[in-house]
Amino acid sequence: MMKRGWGPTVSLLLVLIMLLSACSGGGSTSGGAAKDGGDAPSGGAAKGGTINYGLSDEPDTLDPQKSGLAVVASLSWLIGGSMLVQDPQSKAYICYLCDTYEVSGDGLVWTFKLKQGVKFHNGNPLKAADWKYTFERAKDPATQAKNAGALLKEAKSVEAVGDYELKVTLSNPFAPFADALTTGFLVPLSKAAVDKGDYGRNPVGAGPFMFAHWRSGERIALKRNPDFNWASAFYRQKGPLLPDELVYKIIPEEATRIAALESGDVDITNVNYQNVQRFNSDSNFETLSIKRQGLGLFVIFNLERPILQDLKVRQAINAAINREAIIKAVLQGYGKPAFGPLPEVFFGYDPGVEAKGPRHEPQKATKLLEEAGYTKGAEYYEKNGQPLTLNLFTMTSGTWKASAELIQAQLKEIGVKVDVQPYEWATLTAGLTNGKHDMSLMGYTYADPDVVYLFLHSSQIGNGINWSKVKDADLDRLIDAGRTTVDPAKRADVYKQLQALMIDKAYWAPIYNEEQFFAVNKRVQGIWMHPTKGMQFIDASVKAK
Amino acid sequence: MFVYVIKRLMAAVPTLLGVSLVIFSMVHLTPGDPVQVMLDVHASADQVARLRHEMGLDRPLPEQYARFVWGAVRGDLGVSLKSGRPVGAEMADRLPATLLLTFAGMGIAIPFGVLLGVIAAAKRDTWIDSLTMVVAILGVSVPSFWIGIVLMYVFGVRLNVLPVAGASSWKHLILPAITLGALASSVLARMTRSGMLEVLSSDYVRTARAKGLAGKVVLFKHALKNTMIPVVTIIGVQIGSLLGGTFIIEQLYAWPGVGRLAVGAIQARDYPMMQGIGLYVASAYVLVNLVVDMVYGLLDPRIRYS
Repeated sequence: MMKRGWGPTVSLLLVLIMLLSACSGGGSTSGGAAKDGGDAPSGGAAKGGTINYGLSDEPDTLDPQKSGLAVVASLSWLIGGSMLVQDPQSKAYICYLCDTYEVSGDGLVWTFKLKQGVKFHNGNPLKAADWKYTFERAKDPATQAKNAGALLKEAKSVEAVGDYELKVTLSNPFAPFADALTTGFLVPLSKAAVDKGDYGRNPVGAGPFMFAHWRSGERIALKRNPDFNWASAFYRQKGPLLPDELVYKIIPEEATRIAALESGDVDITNVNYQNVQRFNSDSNFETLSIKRQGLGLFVIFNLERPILQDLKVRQAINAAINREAIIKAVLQGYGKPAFGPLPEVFFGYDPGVEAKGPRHEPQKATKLLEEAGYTKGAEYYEKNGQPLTLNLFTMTSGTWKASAELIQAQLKEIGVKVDVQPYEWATLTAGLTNGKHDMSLMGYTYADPDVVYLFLHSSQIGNGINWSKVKDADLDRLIDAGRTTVDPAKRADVYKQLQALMIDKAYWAPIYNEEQFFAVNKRVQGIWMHPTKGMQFIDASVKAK
Repeated sequence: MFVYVIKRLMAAVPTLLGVSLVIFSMVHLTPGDPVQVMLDVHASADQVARLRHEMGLDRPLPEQYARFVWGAVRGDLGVSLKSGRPVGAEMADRLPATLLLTFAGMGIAIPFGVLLGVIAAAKRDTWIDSLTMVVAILGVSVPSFWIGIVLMYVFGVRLNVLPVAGASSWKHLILPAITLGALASSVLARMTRSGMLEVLSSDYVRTARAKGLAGKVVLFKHALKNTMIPVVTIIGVQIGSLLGGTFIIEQLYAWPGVGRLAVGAIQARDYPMMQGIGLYVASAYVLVNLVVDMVYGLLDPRIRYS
């Protein structure tokens, strides 16, 4: 028989719970308020403090030549710097780690007079020999460089003329070369640091932030470079940056990133469309947006399929899609319909596509199908007793999946049966390469209209990502001209013709170009968005507590 | 006992060999080309072929398997296709976090679960029994990510007393460990209750009570040991499973454990990493089973190993 009962045990449990809460109560933050604040509260921006950024994808390596991830390019740029930058106002490509540069008349020889006094984080001065080493390493087959190698494909030779002059000779004029030199994939590398080994976990650069540590799966910390004083003119901060540290906290789950933002564990993160209004109306936060840097969402047609070889069918599908409805449902309205292959943000975008491009015209769509020889059955159009059925590849979650389902419904309305097939990325791309798709959704982060070479040039079938299997001599000619025409006005005209041709041939069904949103805790000041290069940290500061 | 342990470890070798073959086969049957994933979509066919050759992925499958096994035996699990770092180093980075979460979670689950089960059995058919079992059923039925999100919202966002993501301090361990412990303890509570009920109806317990021993002494000194034998088996299975990483908890709390490493490896078709983690999980189960068997011997002196 129990004489003492359960009272003492329960009491002990309650005490433990109270102790736990009390111990956790001290030293933590209140939502949205200051944490790791800076000193010197008097006027102006404070020095010190830590900026915490909520990152969804962990880099695979911080060796910029061995990764294709956009996040790696971003971090590498902060650590490493780049030869050129793009002016946010004029969009011109100007010197960053050089003083001047010039391009020969035929577009083949690029000569850079390097900035003097720039040092790597290990104290070694940055000289022409380092750039030569960097470019040659990217082109060396042993490096197996990813994007870095592709961006330097046309670079035939690199010459260091003395300590502070670099000459790069191209095999062919390559218009995207200037933009390539602004990316984090082509930051200058210190040979001494690379030779030490494990460079991907111990990067050394000439940028405003130095690498501090990387705790796998958890965080990457960068700290201020005290020697940095070569920021571009369009930044306010000229010398070493104000914050002590920029910490990337790796938080893959969206809901957790939002919770971390609200609790003050992170100061900045990307925000999904459903949460934009919420942070817009929260006075503790500022929301920043940028138009997606790349191809938003579009449908590619597999031209090896007889059904899709018929232009009228492709045009019908284009006319059946209600882009505004997809933007409203999937992006909560934060996007614009796409009419042609290139987004507004790209060099060479022709506003004329808005008049020429496809619109939601279901009656026109059905008329086109009938002109193509299809007859309406009970539910779907048919030809020779076969219903008009197409599969649509997409990813398993997110905006692509939702968009695919809407497209399926919209095409059903005009009598086309769509079988949505969701896959995770690696399986999707394997399927596309093997030509198992009829149609697929696609989007791609890129900075230059030359992206059309990857997707539409006939040389990229099987060998690359021309998953449409397009072999169009006129298109090839325009794509080649776009790559090699260095004069901006002429180059823009080439892309204008290309966009018109793409609309006429309807090789794609463009859907939308979206905006991307970030919420920034107001304790962090000075963050701004470059229209093409994303979030800028150089002018940032952390408010004193 | 020592000889027994050695024999068991040696018997594990064919098990691990079998597991390695199954993992290798499954990994290579998965659609998707790791080289294409690694090099990003717009690599040229030349680059793809060169990298495939460098990684030995163009060798016949039996040869690849033999290299994998021979490497594993010498402690070399190969190089991650994704990061370029040795698989062993990548796993070593993540293992401490997984071990910490496993033992913290079980450190909550075992005392709570067993206690709840003992209380329920001792107060059988009363409201206390019903209440504890409802709690246990809820713990098993409610998805762990839901419990996690609620805890995160209450303690992380509203009350702001605990951090919601990461692993930088002991405070970061609390919410993930409680979430993990909630599910595990519920299972243990039900097992303990049913085991305890069986034991409480046995003759020696009746004798103990007849001798006038206090209720708590009967429960915890005499009955619990026998109850624990099947419960320890379940604990072993749970620990084995947790050592393989708990992807959902790790994903939710951004906990840098082996679970997220494994899922990332699958998405990247990182064959060496997938194989390395598979082998590690199998080894963890083998070890845990061995420890469980030894604990039986502690619980029941009649069990002797030779």
